[in-house]
Amino acid sequence: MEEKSKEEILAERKQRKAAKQLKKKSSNKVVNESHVKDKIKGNLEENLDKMKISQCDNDALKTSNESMSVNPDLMTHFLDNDKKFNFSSNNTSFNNETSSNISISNKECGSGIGNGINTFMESVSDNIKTKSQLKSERRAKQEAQRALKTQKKLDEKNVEQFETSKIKVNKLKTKFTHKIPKTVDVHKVLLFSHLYRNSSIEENNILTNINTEIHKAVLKLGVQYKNKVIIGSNARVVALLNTLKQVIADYRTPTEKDFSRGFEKVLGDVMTYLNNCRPVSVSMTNAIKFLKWHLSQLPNNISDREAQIKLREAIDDYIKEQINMAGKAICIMVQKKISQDDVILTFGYSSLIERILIESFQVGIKFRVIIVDAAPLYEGKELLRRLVKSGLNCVYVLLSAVSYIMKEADKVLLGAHALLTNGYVMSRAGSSQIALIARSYNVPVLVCCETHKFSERVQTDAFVHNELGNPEELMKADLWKSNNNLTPLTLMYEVTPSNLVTAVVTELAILPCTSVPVVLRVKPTSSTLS
Amino acid sequence: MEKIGERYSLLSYIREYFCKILHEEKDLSPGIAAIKTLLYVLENDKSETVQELDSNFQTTIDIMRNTDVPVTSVASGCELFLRFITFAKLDYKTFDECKKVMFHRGKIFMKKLTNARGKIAKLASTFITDNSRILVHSKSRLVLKAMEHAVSLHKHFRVFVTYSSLDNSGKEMADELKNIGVPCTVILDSAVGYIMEQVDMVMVGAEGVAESGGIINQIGSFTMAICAKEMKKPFYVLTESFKFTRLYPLNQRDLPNEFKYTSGHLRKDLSKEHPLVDYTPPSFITLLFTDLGILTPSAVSDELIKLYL
Repeated sequence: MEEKSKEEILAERKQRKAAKQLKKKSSNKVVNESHVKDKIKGNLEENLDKMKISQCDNDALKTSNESMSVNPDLMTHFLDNDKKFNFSSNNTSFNNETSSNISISNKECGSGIGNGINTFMESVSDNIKTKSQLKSERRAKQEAQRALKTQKKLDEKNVEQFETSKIKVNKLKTKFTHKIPKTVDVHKVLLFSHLYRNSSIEENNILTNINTEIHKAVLKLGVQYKNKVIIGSNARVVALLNTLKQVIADYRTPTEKDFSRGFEKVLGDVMTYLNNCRPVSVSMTNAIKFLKWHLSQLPNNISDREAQIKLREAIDDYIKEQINMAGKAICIMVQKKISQDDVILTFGYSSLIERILIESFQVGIKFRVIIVDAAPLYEGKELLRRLVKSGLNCVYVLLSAVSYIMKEADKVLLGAHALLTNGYVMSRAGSSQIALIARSYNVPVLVCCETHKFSERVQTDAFVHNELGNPEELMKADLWKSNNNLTPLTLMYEVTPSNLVTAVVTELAILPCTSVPVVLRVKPTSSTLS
Repeated sequence: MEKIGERYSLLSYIREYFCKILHEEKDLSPGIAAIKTLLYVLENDKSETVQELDSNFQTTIDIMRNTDVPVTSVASGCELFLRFITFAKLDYKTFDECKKVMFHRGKIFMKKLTNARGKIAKLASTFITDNSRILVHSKSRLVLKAMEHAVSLHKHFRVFVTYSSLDNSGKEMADELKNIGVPCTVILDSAVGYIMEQVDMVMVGAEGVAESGGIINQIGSFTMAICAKEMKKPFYVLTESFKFTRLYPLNQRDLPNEFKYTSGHLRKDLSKEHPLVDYTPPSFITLLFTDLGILTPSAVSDELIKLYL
C-alpha cells in the first residue's frame, strides 16, 4: 500500500505538470461532444470500479488532453459531484460561436480534471494515511479549493459570455431574415430619417423632466409652439421676444455672477427647451443672436434693474424696427407694384402678405386676390377670413387647381420663412410649386421678406434641413399605425430656387434673390452680430 | 423780392442751358448733360441754406425731366449726382464751406464720368475678335466708341445695325461706323430673327440699368434679346454706371410711364402712343460692361446696394 501511495504521489506530480503544460497550451481542438463525454464517463466508471488508480489518472489526463473543448459547466459538475458522476448532455451544449470562450476555459480544464481526480483519490485511499500522504493530501485539498474558486469565477464569466454570444447570434439571424435592420422604425421615411425626433420619449421628457428653473411663461410658449397655436415666423419671434421680456423682468442675478453671464445660461436653457418643443425658426435664431449681442455689450458691474431696462428697450426696438417698421416699408414698396385691377395670387398664410393686401386695399387700389391653399394646415382659410372681413374680393382654391387659375393672375405674392445666402427662398411646403407654375405662365413672383429673416445658411434642397409636421394632421393614426406598408410624411418647408423668383421685397429695397449676401454684408446689425 | 426774382431767372435759364448742351455736344448722353446742368446750378446758386439748395436742385431736375429728351438716364444721373455730392452735407460748419466741398465733389464726379467711356470701350473691345459679326441696335455712343477702339487695335469685324424705325438712328450709326472703316449693313428691325443666326454676338447700349440687372433701352432691344437667347448668342450691354437706377420693373407694364413716353406724349391718350423704350429682364443679358468692370446682371444690384444703403 505504501508503494502504491508513492506511486500516487508520483502520479499527482505528473498530473500537476501536465496541468501546467495544459495551461500554457492554448490549442483548442473542437472534439465531438459525445466522444469526449463517453471517454470521461468511461474513465470515471472505471474509477468507481476501483480499477488501477494510476492508469485511471493517466487515462483521465489523456482524455483531458484530447478533450480540449469540454464544457466548463460539465467540469464543475464533475468536480462537485465527483462521486455521483452525473453527466447530462444538456449541460454540454457546444456551439461554434462559443468556441472562443470555451478555449479560454480550457486552460483551466486540464488542471480541473487533475484536481478532480485528486479529490476522488482522497476518497478512495481514505483509510491509508501516512505523513507524506497527509501532506500531499492537504496540498491537494488546497489546490483543489483554489482551482474550484477560479473555476467558478470563470464559469460565471463564461456563462455570461456565452449568453451574449447567443444574443449576437440571434441578432445575426434576425439580420439575415429581415432586410430592414430596425423593425421599430417602420413609420419613418428613410430619406428624412435625420429629421425625426423620437417623439414618444421626448414628449414625456419635455413635460416630466422639466427643468424647474425655466420660466412659466416659457413653458407655456413652448406648448403653444408645439401645438401650433402660435404659427408663422413673425408671430413666433414676436411671441418669443415678449416672453423673454417677462423672463428678463423676473430674472435675479445669482450672487457672484454677472448679469450677462447668468442670463446667457438661462437663455440657453430656454432655447433648448423651445427647440425641443418645435425646431426654432430662422427669425427666432436671429432675434436670439441679437439679444445675445446686447447681453455681451452690458458692462460687468451693471445692476439688475439697469440691465433689465436696457434689454427690454433693445427688444422693443427690435420688434418695432425689424418687424413692424420693416413690414410697413415693405407694404409701401409692394403697393407701388400693385396696379389697378390687378389679380394677386398668394399661397397659404403670411402675416406680412395679409398686411400688404389690406393696406393696399385701404389706400384705394382696386384688385382681386386668389388664395391658394394646401393640406394639411389649410392656413389660407385664415387669410381668406381676414381679407373677406376687410372687404377684399377673394377667390379660394386648392393647390391642385393652381395651374388652372394661374392664367388669371397678374402677380404672385409669397411670404417666406427665411431667405438663404444663395438666394433660395425657404417657405411653407407648396410655395415652390406655385413659383414654378407662375414661371411657366410668365407671371412675376414677388417674395416678401423682412431682413430679420435672412439666414447665413446655404441650402439647395429641402432634404438636408427641414421640419417634419405631425403625421396625424395628414391622416388619422389608426389608418396607418397598424399598417407597416403605409407611412405618412408631412414636410413643413420647402426651398424655392432663386431663378423662379422675380424679386424679393425687403424693407431696404426690391432686390433680386442673388443680392441676399450683399444685404447680409451691408446690414449693420448682422455684421456686428456675427 | 429781388432774391426770388433772381432765383426765378436762374431756374428759367436752366431749360435753355440744358437744351443748349444737348444741342452743342451731340456726343453727350442726356444724363451727363443733366449732371452738367446741376453743376452749373450749384456754381451759380445764391441760396443760403442747404434746404434751399436742395429745393433748387429738385426744381432743376423737374425742369429737365419735362424736356423732350429720354428721361431714364437724366433721372438716374441726377439721383446719383445728388447722392455723391451731398455726402458732405453735415460734415461742415458753414454753408459756404459745404457748398465749396459739394462743388469740388461734383467736379470729381464729372471727371469720373467722362473717363468712364474710355474704360468701357477698352473692356468691351477685348470681346470683339477678328472676323466676328456683331449685331447692334440703333445708335449707341458707347458701342461706337468700343468699336473705334477695336479698329485702332487693327481688328477686322463686320457689323449689322438695325434701322430702328423709331428715330432712324440706325442709319446714323451706320454712317459713323463707315467713317471709322467698319463694314456695316443696315437691316430692318423686323429682320432681327433672320440675321441672328449669322452673328456672333449682340452689343447694345442702355438708357438705364434697373436694380434687377435688366436694362431699359430703345424699343426693340427686348426682341433682340429674346432672339439672341433663343439662338444662344451672347447679349452684351455697354453702359456707364451713372445709368444705374433704383427701379425694379417686374415686366413691361410695370415700367413707369414717364420712362416709356416723352413728356409731350404723356399729355395725350397713351393707348394710342407708341412706347420709346422697353425693359430687358436680366435673364436675357449675358454681361454688362461698365466703368466698374465687367458685371453679371446680378452684380448690378450689389453695386446699387453699396451706393444707396
